[in-house]
Amino acid sequence: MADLPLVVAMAAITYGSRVVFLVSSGPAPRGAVARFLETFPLALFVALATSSLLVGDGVGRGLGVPAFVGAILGAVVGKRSLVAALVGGGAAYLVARGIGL
Amino acid sequence: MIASASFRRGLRDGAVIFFAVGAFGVAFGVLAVEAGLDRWVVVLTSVIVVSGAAQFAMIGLLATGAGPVLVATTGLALRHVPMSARLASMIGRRSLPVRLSMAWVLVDETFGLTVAAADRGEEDLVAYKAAADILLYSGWVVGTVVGAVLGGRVDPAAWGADVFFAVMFLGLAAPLVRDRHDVVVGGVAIAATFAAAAVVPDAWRITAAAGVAGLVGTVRRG
Repeated sequence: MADLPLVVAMAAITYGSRVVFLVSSGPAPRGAVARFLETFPLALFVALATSSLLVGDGVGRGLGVPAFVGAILGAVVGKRSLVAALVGGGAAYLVARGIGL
Repeated sequence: MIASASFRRGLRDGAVIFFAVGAFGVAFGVLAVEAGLDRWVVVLTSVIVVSGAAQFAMIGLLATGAGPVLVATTGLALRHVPMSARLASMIGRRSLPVRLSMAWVLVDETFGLTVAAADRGEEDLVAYKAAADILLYSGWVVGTVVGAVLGGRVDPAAWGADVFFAVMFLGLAAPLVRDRHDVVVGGVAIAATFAAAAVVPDAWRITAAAGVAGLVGTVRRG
């Protein structure tokens, strides 16, 4: 129950961002603001991925690093495809697990 | 509207999304329950937030408190602003209920389909997007319900869920890399996350690192 206000707030923020220009006739963001908005999702996704490897202020032990590298290789080979990144990461995880890393 | 050719084409093009998003929904449901959320809250989150990126970020940040979750949600939601502007220009003058409904599932996948359909000259973009949205939304919610039901009965670490976050977020990032500027942004985001881990409190290191990398990208494209 304690998480309900947080979820509602997330919904309000998300829907507000989606509806703002559909109910108004204001100009689209331009210049540096538009460029930042365009770049931020990529930066955030990579930061989230990297952060999941960290324990404290260093890289944790486990299969996270091989999967991370595999996902990047998969994305490169698969022409930046989400599915290719997932397959690459999953394959690297299974290989690393199989050889006992 | 549902009898129109545009609606049928939206269903056809959105079919693959139903299954792909449904699989992510299952993963979200499982991980959210494992993170300690009540099942009904997990399902409600998918029903009213409808943002895989924000919802997975929520799981990752939940232990650090509401502030970081809302900061991350805001950061992720900001990308919808230019999408909203683009969609408004594509569908033209429509009634308020139509515009409000178009915003409900304004997500990367169906937005991309709609832009491609507009480029092809689709006659009724509202019907087309509505069909794709229905499939995406139902896939996401149904997947979440399945995952939430399974949640307590499976060990996420046993099937690699402990590394799923890294792989999934890299997968979401991959299509966003269009040129060398974006490669630099990705590299800076990795380096900044390590740096932030040493000097920034845990709750804010992701936002700080993403902000720095985003600013680097902004300057490079300036």
